[in-house]
Amino acid sequence: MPVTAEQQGVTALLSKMREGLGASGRPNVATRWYAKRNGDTFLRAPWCDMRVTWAAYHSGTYDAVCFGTDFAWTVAHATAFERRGRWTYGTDGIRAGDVIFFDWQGGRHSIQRIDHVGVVEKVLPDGRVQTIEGNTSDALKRKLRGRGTITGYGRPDWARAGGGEISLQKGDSGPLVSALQQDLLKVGQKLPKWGADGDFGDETVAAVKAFQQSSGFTGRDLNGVAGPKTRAALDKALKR
Amino acid sequence: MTGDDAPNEGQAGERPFPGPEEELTQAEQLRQLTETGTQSVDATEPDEEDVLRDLYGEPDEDGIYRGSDA
Repeated sequence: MPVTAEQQGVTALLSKMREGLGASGRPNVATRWYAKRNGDTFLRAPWCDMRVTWAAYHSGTYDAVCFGTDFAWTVAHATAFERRGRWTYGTDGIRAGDVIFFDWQGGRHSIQRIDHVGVVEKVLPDGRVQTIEGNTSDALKRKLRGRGTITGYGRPDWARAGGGEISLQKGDSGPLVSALQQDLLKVGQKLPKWGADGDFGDETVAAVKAFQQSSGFTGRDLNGVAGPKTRAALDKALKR
Repeated sequence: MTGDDAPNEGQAGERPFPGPEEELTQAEQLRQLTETGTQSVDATEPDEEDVLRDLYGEPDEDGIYRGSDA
C-alpha cells in the first residue's frame, strides 16, 4: 500500500518533535534557530510554538504546518489554521500529527484565549490525547491532556508537505529513513556497517548514490538525496 | 505568554487579534508573546504517569518517557 503524504508528513513531524525529548531551559535548539531568523529577543521567550515551527521546518512540513510563516505566538498560529479552514474547536476527529492548542482557563470557544500548543502523538480510546510539547515546565515532554483545557486543533495541509513528497538526506533520522534503508537493501544496495538503523549518514548517502547511478541518474540528480525522483525509481525497482 | 506552569505574566484573557489577512509580523508576535499573559495552572491529568508508563515504559532518571522510538 503506498504511503500517503499525510502519513509521511505525520511521521516526519513527530520524529522531529521527539528529537531531544527532555531538553530544557532557554536558549535551546528551537529558540536559537528562531532567533537567528527573527531576532535575538526570541532567545529566551516562551517557546512552545517556536518548537512546533522548528520541527515543521526541519521535517519538510513547514508549509503544511506553518503555511510559510514562523510562529511563536499561539494565537497567531491557530488563527492561521482557522483562516485556511483547517481549524476545529474541541477534539472531534483529532488524530496524530494535528497541532493542538490549549487554554489553561478552560478550553473555551475562543482562539484569542489560547495559551499553549503541542503536537498530537496518540489519541487514547477514552478521547484524551497524548502530545509532545515544548515549554511545558520549560522542557520538551510527552504529556497527557484531557478535553477540559483543549481549545481545538489545526489540521496541517499535508499535501503541502514538500509538495506532497519528502526528501530525505544526510542528517535525517527516524522511521522514514529506516524504511528507505530497508528498501535500498531490498533492491540490492549495501549498508554493511550500520544497516537499516534509521540514521541517514555517509553510508546511506553512498547507497542512495549507488542506486541513483544504477538507475541512470546523472548530473544534479546523482546527489545522494532521496527525493521524489529517487523515491519513484526505488518504487519501480521494488516491483521488479 | 505561552507555555504551562508559567508565572502569571501580563493579563490573561481575550486577546484582540488585529485581523489582517496577512500573518502578524515577528515584532507583533513577540509583543503579544511577552505582554499578554495566562494563569499559571496545573493542567496535568492525574493519571498521566500511569498512562505514559503504559505507552512508553519506565521514564529515565529525569522523568522523561522516551520510549524506544525517541
